[in-house]
This record gives sequence, structure tokens and C-alpha cells, in this order.
Amino acid sequence: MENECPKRLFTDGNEPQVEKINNSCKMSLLTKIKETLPSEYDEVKRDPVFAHVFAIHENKIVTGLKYTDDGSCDYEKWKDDKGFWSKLLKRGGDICINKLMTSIEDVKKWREKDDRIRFVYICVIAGLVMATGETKKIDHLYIKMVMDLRNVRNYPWGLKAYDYLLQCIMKARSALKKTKSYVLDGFSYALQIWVMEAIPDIGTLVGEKISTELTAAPRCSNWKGAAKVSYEDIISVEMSFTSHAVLYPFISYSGNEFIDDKEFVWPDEIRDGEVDNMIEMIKSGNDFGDHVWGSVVDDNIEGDNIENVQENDVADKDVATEDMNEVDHLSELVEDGNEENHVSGMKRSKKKQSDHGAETRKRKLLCQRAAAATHGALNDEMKSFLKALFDSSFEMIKAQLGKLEDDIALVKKLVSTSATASITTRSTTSQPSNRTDQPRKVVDEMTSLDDDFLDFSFGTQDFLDKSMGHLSQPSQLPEFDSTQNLNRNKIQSLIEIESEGKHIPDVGKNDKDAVLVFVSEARWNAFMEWNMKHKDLNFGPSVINKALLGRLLKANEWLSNVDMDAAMYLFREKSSLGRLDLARVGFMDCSFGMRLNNEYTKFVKNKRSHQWSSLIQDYANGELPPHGRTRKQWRSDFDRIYFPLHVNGNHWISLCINFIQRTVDIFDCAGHNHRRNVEAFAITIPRILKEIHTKSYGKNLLLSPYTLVHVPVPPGLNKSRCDCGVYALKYIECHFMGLPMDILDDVNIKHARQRIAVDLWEAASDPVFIDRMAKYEPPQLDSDTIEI
Amino acid sequence: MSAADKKPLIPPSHITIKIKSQDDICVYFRIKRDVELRTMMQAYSDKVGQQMSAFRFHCDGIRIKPNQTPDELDLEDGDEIDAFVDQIAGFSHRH
Repeated sequence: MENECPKRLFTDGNEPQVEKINNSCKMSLLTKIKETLPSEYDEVKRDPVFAHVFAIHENKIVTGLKYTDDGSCDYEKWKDDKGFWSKLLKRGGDICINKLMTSIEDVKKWREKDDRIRFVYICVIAGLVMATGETKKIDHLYIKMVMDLRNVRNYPWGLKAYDYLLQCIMKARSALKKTKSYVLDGFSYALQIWVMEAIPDIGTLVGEKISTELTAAPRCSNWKGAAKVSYEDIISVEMSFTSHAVLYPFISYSGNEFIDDKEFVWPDEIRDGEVDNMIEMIKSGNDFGDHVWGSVVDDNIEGDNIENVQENDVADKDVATEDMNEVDHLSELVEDGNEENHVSGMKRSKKKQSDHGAETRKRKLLCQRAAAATHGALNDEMKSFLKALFDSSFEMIKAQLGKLEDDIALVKKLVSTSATASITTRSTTSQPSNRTDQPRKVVDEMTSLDDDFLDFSFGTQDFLDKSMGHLSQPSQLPEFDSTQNLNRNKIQSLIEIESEGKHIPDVGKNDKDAVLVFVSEARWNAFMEWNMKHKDLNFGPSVINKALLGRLLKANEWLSNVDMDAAMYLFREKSSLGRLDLARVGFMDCSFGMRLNNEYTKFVKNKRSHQWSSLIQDYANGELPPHGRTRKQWRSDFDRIYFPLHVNGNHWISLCINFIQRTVDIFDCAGHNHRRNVEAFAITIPRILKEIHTKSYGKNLLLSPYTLVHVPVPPGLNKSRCDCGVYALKYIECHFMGLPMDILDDVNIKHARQRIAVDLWEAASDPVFIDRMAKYEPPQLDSDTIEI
Repeated sequence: MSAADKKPLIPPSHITIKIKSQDDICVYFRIKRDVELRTMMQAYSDKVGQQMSAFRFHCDGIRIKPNQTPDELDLEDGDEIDAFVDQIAGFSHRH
């Protein structure tokens, strides 16, 4: 039977494990380009031909490239435009990726944008899709091709990249027995994604599938994450395979089935009986459980004949050429623990980016496998792994208990000795949330309270109620309601309807998020009734219409600046009206963040004599945002301001700038600190304050930058990848109400969307708001006509 | 408005256009009928402290491009162009 199937390269258990694989295909190239040439990066990213390559980079992890060659273009033709690339071609000069990357700063200064765009294309082609070594010269064909981007779009990249990757794998095979390292050229990410698709367990180890449904989009865009995977991890997954394990012998564009189509046949393809046999066996449902695999290299003749290897080359090439779209029957070999498997695993371990969920996913998978394993004996790796898992868990519990004991000791000490005012302050600030996100205002007010304020008979919630009394939204308190955890999707089926404004004073433990996310049924029903009528309502800078509500209410929609501005307008007006007890808190809009970042780039160029634009000063003087104009000055009337900020072109975060504490608090559901986007505020705000206050405060204002405070949030939020805007808004609310940030999670954020929609609608139909909106005056800009 | 005062002085080769942003900041321009709107868009962006790439310019609900001229768009004296900022976001790719 062995003679009927392709052979393994090494016998079971004797696969070599190399320490390091040098991939020529390096995603770090893109990272560097993105940093240096962001606009060109974006432009090339939008080009459909390589969009999927960028998807890999951005999702951290191959491919929908064109695979048919219609022969309609002459890729060698190019037009001289006297630019860098034309000159290079004319002179027949050589250039390599390494050289390109070291001179990337110079590229930035190139006058011709086209040449910069070509630079990005060349890097993507020569560095990723057709990755050769960094120091090898780039084929002139590619350079000629990027001279006319139509050629780039017509070129069968899929076909060429695939062919080239196969050649490179063949080349790397002769080096497999090296123990230190070997080089793998070509678009090796494609191989990795294929392994992840074919063996879903390995996929889970390495990354996270965004959508489990098969869509028309290429598979590469469907993965994110970049975990490190060792040989041991893969071996333990393999060891734990049972007869029920999910494996896909074929991966194709239409699903995981075998495709034998003329379209995918190579002109020089030779049919291989062994491969055909194997395909038949797979089709007949043979699981190869009792199959004895032959191998090319026998134990006793290690490191021998090139002849064998070459022979196998032919076989493998043939196998791999059956289908373009990563349909490889190599998967059979992988299924049985072939070294290909390990190679790709090791390759992944090269990645440097950290992947937060990786360890958890790995543990989860291995635990599941351990439970499913029917043939009892756990291997040693698994045992040690589980032991480590338990140990680390116990350590954590121990640490937490220890902390708790310390806390109790501290409280005891406080009770026994008479509490002084300073101790009171310290313990009260730490008590409600045990975090630093407690607004400073509360701290300030608490310092002025009497010593007997610290009453240990208070429960946590009572304490919160009392301490938050200064900051909470009185209009929202009646909605503290024990039913807030109900699934509002099923709300129609509920019989009991809450009466509006019903106050349930006994707030349960689970209700602490009610003030942020709860919508009573009466309000929801009234809202839905209105929503049916499809009537548009003006609301400050925005219009509450179908589009806005669609974005807010659908769980998979992203929020736009219009939605964010509407919510900020609501906060602003509520505090102006005294409905929020936040007289000294300002709320800016999305334009503010954009404008200030823009102003910052101008400021950096000319720090000494920079003149702050009148618009920025208008913000600082309360003239802007125009809707809900406060006419309150920063620092003298406002202690802190909040606003949302659009970063990286696809993410919302929010900021709180505290003029008293001189801090910039950053709230990001993804947990990053966004130093690059935020430092503009830390540096410019003190200068703007100085600009507007020099008259009243003299020249004593400090110009030193504010401190950036990264407010911690629970890890792994925003799994839907759509909710960052909602988080950004609700974090602002959390912060000014003095609630802990971990109150929000991926479950109640959906309810938070409904809450925002209902709040906006309610305010837009509120006569007080309507009256204020009617008095709106547009901002006055010096309105001389500009002649062009 | 000063633009209105000067209106009679406009030579026929020129028109006055108003660009208005979402936050109601209005800027008036006097522009030749056969000049690409790019210069006007750039001047507007500078004036309101934003980058030109941040804006989408619409006239009567139709998006206009920087390489079009008032003649091509049949713009008339006193027409108003809306400048929209379109920021939409949902996730961070740096997960």
C-alpha cells in the first residue's frame, strides 16, 4: 500500500527541527513603509491588486491574487518619465530591498509622488509577493511593470507568486537537515495561511479567524493574530488528534473540496499515479489511520542521496500544481506530522509582534484536546504544560488573596487608630474602584469633607452613591433598575413593562452598569414607536436620521464622527443645563482633535514663533464647538475637557485633558497608548493655555508637557471589531461619573449602543433642547472673500 | 456680509462661492470660472486648520473633485459647497 501513495520526507518522529528559518517575506517592510510614507502606503493599499497582502499585514498575519495570464499585456514595455526608476532602468542599474529600505528617508523627499508610489509597489512585490533575499537585486521586469500600474494589475501575481513559492520550498528542502537555520524565499505567508486553513487547530494556535463562514473574500483577510508557536505545541496538537479531528485535505475557493479543473492545470503538468491514488483514498473517506507511510529518507541512510530528493521534487511539484488556490494535497503529508508542518510552525515563531490572546487560545485548545483524547496517556509536554497552567492559576489566586489580606489589615489599622484627614483621602479614593480612573474632582471634594466621612458601615454601593452624588446624572438615577441585565432583544416577549421614572433604590450588585447602558422598556418602546415613523430630528451638529440610528443600533456598524459629535453635544448641553453636575467640565468635538493634530505639525516646524490659529483659540475660549457654545475658558472655567479622537484611520479613542493635574488620560478599548497621536495634546495644551491666559495670570504658566496617563481597561475587548466608538463615548461617561472602566464589556456594550440612541432621540425631542438649538448662532470667521 | 457688498464688482469671468463645513464655518472665495477647484479646496482646508484629504466636497449632494472647474460643474455666482469630514472607525488593527 505504501507504494501507492506519496512518500514522507522523513520517518515519523525523525523530522529535523531547525532553530530558525530566515523568511525573505517580511511583513516588517510594510510597517516601515507605513511609518515613513503613510499617504503612499494608503494609496497602494487601496489598489485592489495587493489589497490582500495589506490585509495580512494589518490583521497581523494568504491569497486572492490574480491567477490567470491572459497574455494581453506586454509587461516589458515602459515609458520614460525621467524619474528615479526610469533612470535606473535606462542605466540598467541594480538595486535591492536592503538598499531601498535604508534610503527610505530619502524617498520621502522625492518630488514625484508617482515615484514614491512605485517605491511602495516595488517593496510589496520584491519584498513580499515575490520575496527574494534582502540583498538580492530586484528583477527589472518588476520595475518596468510598475512604470505602468495597469500592467501591475494585469500580471498574474497569484500564479507567479505560487510558482515561485514552490520553487523556494523545493530549494529549502535540501537544507531541512540543517540544525541552525536556513533560508525560505517566496510568499511564505501563503503557506502559513494554507496550513492554518487545512488544520484548523493550528490556525487557532497561531491566529484568530475573523469570520467562520466561507465568503468570497480571500482567506488571508480572514485571519488576525501573530502568536509564537513552537514545535512542541504543534507536536502536542498532532498527538492529540482523534478520529474526529477536523482536517481539510483540500482548500479551495469554493469551500474545502477537491477541484479538478482545466483552468488550474499547468502546461507542463505530469499526472502522478501516487497522488491520484491518494486523492481517491481521501474521497472514499479513508482516514489513513492504519496507513504505513514510506519515507524518502530512511533512518539508516541519513543525509544521503540527492537523487531521492529530486525524485520527490517532481512528485511534489505535481501534487501542488493541481489547484492554484492553495489546493494542495500536501495536506495529507502534513496530516501525518510531516516536517512541512513544523517548518511552517517555526516560521511563525519568527514573528516579533506580540499577540495578546495567543497564550489563552493555546491553553484553551490544548485543554480541549486533552479532554478529548481517548487514548489516555498524555504526553510529557502536555503534562508539564498543564502543570504550569495550574501553577500559574494558583499563583494568581494566592497573590490576590495576599492583596486582600493586606487590604483588610489596612482597614483594621484605620479603624483602630483615629483616621486623620490625609489617610481618609487616600483610602476613600482607592475604595470605590481601586483604580486611578477616579476623577480628580471627587478627590478634591473629598479632601474637604469631615473626618467622620469615612463610615465603615457603608456598603460599596452606598459608598458609591454617596461619593458619586456630586457627579452622577440625577436625571438618570431613576433608571437604576434590577432588570437591566435582561436581554433586550427579547424585550418584546416580556410582559411586565416598567413604568417610566420608577425608582428602585435597592441597587443590586449586577446593576452597576445600569446608568451607562440600561434602557427601560417604556423608553425603548416609545423610541421604537418614533423610529417607525422615520422622521428626521435635528440635533446640534447632527441629524438624528435613519443612517445615524442604523450605525448606532446595528451591532456590526462602525460609528462616524457625526455620531460621536452628537453624543458629545448631548454631554455638553446636559452639563450646561445642569442635568449633569459637571459645571467645570468641557466637551469638545471630533474636529478639535483633528485640528489640533494638524496645528501641531505646523507648530513642530516653527516652535519659537508659532502663532496659534484663531480656531484653536476659539476652542480654548469656549466659542467652539459652535453647537452648545459654552463661552467658558479652559483652565479658568473648565478643569478638564473630554473629546473623542480618530486614530490610524480606523479607530476611535477618547481623551481627558486635566488642566489642574496636568495630565492627558487616554481611554482605548484596545489598550494601546497611542503616544504618536496623543503627544500633540500633551505638548500644545499648556502652550495654548499660556496664550489665552497670559493677560490674567501673567507669565507664570508652565510650558512643560502634560503627563500621558494610559487608563487601564480589561484586555480582549471589542471582539466584534465594531464597537470602539461606543467604548470611547462610554469611557468618557464612566470617567466623569467616577465609575470603574471595567464596568464595560463586549456584552453590555451592545446595550450601550441602544442607550446612546435612546438618549440622543430623547434629547432631540426635548423642548428645552429644541429651544436652545433654535438660538444657535453659527461661528464667525473673519469673512473676507479669498481671491484665487 | 462683505461678500455681498462686493458682489457688483465681480467681473463676469469670476464667481463667488461659499464653502461651509459641518460645524458651520463658512469661507467665501472668488474664483475664476475656468480654474480647477483644487486651489480653492486647499485654501479652504488651510483656513479651517484641517488637511484637504480630511474633506469631501459636495455641491447639491454631488461630490466634486479637485480637478473640476466651476464651468464644468455649472457653478453659479453665490453657490454653496459643503465640506464634510468623514471619519468612521470601529477597531484597531493592532490587536
